[in-house]
Amino acid sequence: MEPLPASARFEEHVGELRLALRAPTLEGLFVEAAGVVARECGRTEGEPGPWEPLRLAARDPATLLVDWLNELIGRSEVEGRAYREVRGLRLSGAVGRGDTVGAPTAVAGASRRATRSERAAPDALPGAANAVTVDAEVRGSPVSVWESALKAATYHGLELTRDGDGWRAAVLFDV
Amino acid sequence: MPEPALPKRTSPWAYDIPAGWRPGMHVPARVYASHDLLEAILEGEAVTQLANVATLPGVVGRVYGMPDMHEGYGFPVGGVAAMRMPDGVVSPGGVGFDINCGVRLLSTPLLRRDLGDRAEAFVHEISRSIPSGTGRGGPWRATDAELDRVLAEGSRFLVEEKGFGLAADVEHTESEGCLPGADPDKVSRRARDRGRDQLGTMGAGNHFVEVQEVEAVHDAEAARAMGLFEGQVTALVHSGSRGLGHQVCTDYVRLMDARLAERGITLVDRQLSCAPASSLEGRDYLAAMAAAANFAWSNRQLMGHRVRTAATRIFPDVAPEDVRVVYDVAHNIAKMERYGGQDVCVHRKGATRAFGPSHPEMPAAYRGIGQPVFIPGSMGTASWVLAGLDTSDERSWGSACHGAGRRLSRTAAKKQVTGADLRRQLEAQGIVVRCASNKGLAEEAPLAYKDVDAVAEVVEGAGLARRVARLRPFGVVKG
Repeated sequence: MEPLPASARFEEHVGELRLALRAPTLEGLFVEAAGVVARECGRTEGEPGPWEPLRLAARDPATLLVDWLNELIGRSEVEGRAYREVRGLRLSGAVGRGDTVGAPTAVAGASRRATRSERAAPDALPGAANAVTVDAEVRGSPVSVWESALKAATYHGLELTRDGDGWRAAVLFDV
Repeated sequence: MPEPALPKRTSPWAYDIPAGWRPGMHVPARVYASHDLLEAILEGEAVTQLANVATLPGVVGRVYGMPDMHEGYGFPVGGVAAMRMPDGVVSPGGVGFDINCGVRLLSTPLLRRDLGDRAEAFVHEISRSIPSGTGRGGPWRATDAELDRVLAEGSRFLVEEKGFGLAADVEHTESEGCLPGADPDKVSRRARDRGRDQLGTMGAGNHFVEVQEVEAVHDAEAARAMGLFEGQVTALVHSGSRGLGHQVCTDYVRLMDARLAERGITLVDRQLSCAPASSLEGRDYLAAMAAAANFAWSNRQLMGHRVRTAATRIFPDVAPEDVRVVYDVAHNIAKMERYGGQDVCVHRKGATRAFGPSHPEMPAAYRGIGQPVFIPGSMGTASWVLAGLDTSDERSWGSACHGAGRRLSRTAAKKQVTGADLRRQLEAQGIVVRCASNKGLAEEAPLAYKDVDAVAEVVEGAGLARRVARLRPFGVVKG
């Protein structure tokens, strides 16, 4: 049976926005999630910026998905870019059903010296929270008129499951 | 497993949920509502979410749901809970992403009936002066040094060092616009960068500036103390800590979630992520949250200053000091307070403080009156000004509700009315609308909200605050 194509749709919630995601692979699900954040940003114009490294770690894939979404939301808002392009996405560690996908990779720029505020920020998570990682490069294009209402992805009602068709996720956003 | 019983009516305005309603509750819950409002509240998961809050470590007394309560994530919107200090938890989700989202009411010496055509010019000038819309920044991009001062000192810095307002503005701001213990170093670089150019901006969603007429005064003495009279023009400013606050919440929910296991904390909802207030991450969050709260007060200070400037520009007879801040209240915040000799951290998520006339933390003008409380309705209905009551201390941890409360999702609202139609309807009612997005307008349609008059009636009936004046909008600026 052919796997179902990747898809994303927003569902009803009285105060916020719930996103339902589906993709044949977990990596594809992360790419689809990035696409949602980018589409919500609004129309883009001009040339895309440089490829930017993105590396995150979390205690499980579902948590990693929320962290991935939040990283893209924050990065988009600060840079004024919609990160429509993702390449070389690799998931490592305890990815699901005991599977291990790839291995942790170094990311250019990850070792640069932290600024004062970065050191003070809650970046350093305990060891158990680093069980799974995502490495990728993302590239964003300037947004002409900012439209995104997405403030943050939450852990409330978070679901990430694997079935015969691939992977499905549900994430609630604060808007 | 049988369905939990419905909340039991224990007074005309209160419905109680015993501590055994769901496993793990440490304290009971109470929802303040009328029969009709409770029906609306029960349509979502809000009551279950309130019961979930009652399972948090260190929660004391009772958790409360306000009459505008609706389903959120983790805490319900319109939820109030107090945690025993110093060992109870603090929960970023119990404050919310938009830290110190709140409202500021300004009064003017103008009468609605005297404005004529200048009403539209006034609304238009406000819309020109205050950037609005998602992600929108303003003309002022704060330097690191300026941002540090804003985060540490709050709105007083903008008034005293930048000239954005009057000293009296600060006196009439909750906590005088500065929550103690703020530490800019606990705010991440990402959070700072998200908020750097957003001071004095509205944002989108349910944020607004509304220009109103005092339609009716219900409590003459309190209205006089607040400088309100019938026919008067007022402006209500609603915004918060923008991207800076969102990022602070994101950062600390993630951090606390990652450390739940090592702290032995099990939660029924991960968005209730928390840490003991005395722990390192608990202390850091409180310091970062206070900084974000100070940013939000500064944001509304600058927005209010621009409303004042717009008034003096359109109405040359109006002097800056004639446009007064009645009060500014937070409705997404955690604060250290003392009740019955016990220190607690009160989490108000979509709820405002409602201190009574005898509370020591009261501006001189409101001693003997009570703290002004604002319940914004929707852009086509009305808003209420109330005065806090001493009985709120024992009935709701000194709290009241923050608005009419959503009853329809944004999608459902858009199915019932288009932005263009709503704009025409509002204009037919004599309401000037400035909103670039028809989609955003429809999402915030009056039909998406509960009946604000019914909500205010419950707040008064329950002894949380008493009604002072009803305000009717004639101008709306939205993102």
